[in-house]
Amino acid sequence: MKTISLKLNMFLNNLTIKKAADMLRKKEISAKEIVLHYLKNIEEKNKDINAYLEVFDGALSEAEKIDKEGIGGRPLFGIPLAVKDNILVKGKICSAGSKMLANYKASYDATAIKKLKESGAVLLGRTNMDEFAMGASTENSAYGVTKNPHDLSRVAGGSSGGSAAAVAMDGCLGALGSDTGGSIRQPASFCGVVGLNPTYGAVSRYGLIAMASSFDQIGPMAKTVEDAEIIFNTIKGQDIMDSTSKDSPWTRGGEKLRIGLLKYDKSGVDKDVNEAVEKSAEILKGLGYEILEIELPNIKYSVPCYYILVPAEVSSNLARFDGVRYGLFKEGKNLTEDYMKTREAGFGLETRRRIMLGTYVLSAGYYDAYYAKAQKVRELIKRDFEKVFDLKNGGVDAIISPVSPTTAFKIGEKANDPLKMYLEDIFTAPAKMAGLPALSLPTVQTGLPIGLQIIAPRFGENLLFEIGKNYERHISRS
Amino acid sequence: MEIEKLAKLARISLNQTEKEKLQKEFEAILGYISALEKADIGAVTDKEEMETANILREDKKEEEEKKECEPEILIKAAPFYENNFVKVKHVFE
Repeated sequence: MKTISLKLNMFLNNLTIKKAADMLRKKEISAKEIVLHYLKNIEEKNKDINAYLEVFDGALSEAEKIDKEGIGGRPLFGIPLAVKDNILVKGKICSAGSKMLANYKASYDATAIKKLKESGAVLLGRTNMDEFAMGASTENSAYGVTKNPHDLSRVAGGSSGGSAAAVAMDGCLGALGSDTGGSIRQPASFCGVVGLNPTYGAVSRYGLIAMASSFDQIGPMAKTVEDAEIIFNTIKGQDIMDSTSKDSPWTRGGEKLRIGLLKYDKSGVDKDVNEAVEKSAEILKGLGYEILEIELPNIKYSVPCYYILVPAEVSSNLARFDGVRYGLFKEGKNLTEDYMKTREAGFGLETRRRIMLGTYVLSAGYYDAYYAKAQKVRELIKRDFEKVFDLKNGGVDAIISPVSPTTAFKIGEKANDPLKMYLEDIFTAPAKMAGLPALSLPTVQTGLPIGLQIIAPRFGENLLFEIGKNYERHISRS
Repeated sequence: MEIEKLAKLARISLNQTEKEKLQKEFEAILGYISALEKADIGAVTDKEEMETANILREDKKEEEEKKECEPEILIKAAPFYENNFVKVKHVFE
């Protein structure tokens, strides 16, 4: 491998997308040199962490190619990024962390990937995840768990654990993850990186392997809020291939902002997490934001509601995996047995658990009691948020809360208790009920990382970025 | 609620150990999600729920789609195919 000067190496160890983009623009470094640096980091660290399932062969030659083409005003020119294993990159294996798609090669680029490629980004590889995005620890991956770079005996969080760890271990400058009930924010919190769950519809889902279609969103993970913003601005936008996508019509922001501190039962949350949130509220107050306590009365129904609606959508979306058009095939005596054997072999236990839960709540006799009821409760939660964000009636511009009730737990600690794992979603699921954008950003910690969650109204990402950047600037100075 | 019946509906096989494990877990999970029974949905009627609308488009292939997936690539992803068809067992016996 080519060697890089010591001085340059120093710069390379402390890069952000913003810094790298500046250096590339000024030709202080080439895309090839940056990509080489990150490939080297991956080679050193990935065997212990298992963030990447595959490093793409073509990454280096891609970097060389774009060096020849020149920057051409492309915002992510030469920036090395990682992609969660459920986002399609044409010609590359996309397995959703599952044996079911172990040899499936993506037949097209996801829109988000197309946009990243057009912006000059270099895709380094695909990252580990809980199978079909079901989980909060990446322990449900068919390819082994991803370890937390801060403490290898602990989980990286999930389901975007690989992407979070890849950023935290400095194996890329940013990554794409996906969030259905917290799958970007919680691993971001556990790994000490920034993670954005966009407004539902802000980023096209075309090319994202579907889990729960009314919740799923692709979002960025990065070292800083500004970096996450750069990636988000590149991948967002209405797409004719996703009829649930929409351009951001956002107008609010700029004036003195009011932030609501979510009232919650502190006894159910780690002491360190409570302290981190309280301290963050103080910091934001010091920065000039007005802090008020707010309540979301139906928030206690978020997790039960989530675990009715999501498995229902999952059971529908995963019905396509039957060994007929793609993926694993296991033979039975007849067509029905083909399906049953294929799905037994291809799906892990958590995936089968959720499919069956979904099948149950949608079945005759139970549909009204569970699914129809949950849809109405979802509407209740949505209205709670609308009330809280209603500025004309004493509402706030944004809400802060914990991301997770815990810090990164030990590998194996919650693996045998699905319900315990589901409760990890207690703070992240509510925003998804209402399709709201939410950011997880690292607080100052000497021990394990703890993320602060900021939630904004629909298409309020600019508010998240503004508050996040102010907060970040303050803690980096002190 | 029979795990076996559910598994058949979902077209999924489970071994005996998995069946027993799931049965127990299901009881706990269903117990937890039944908390929703207490939710007061009085204000939400079926009509109000329908804030969503179907987005439709013209029934013609968009330019983008034409460039996307060539049929040959899609067909070759199947475990069995013949000419330009995906091959499966008889649906009806």
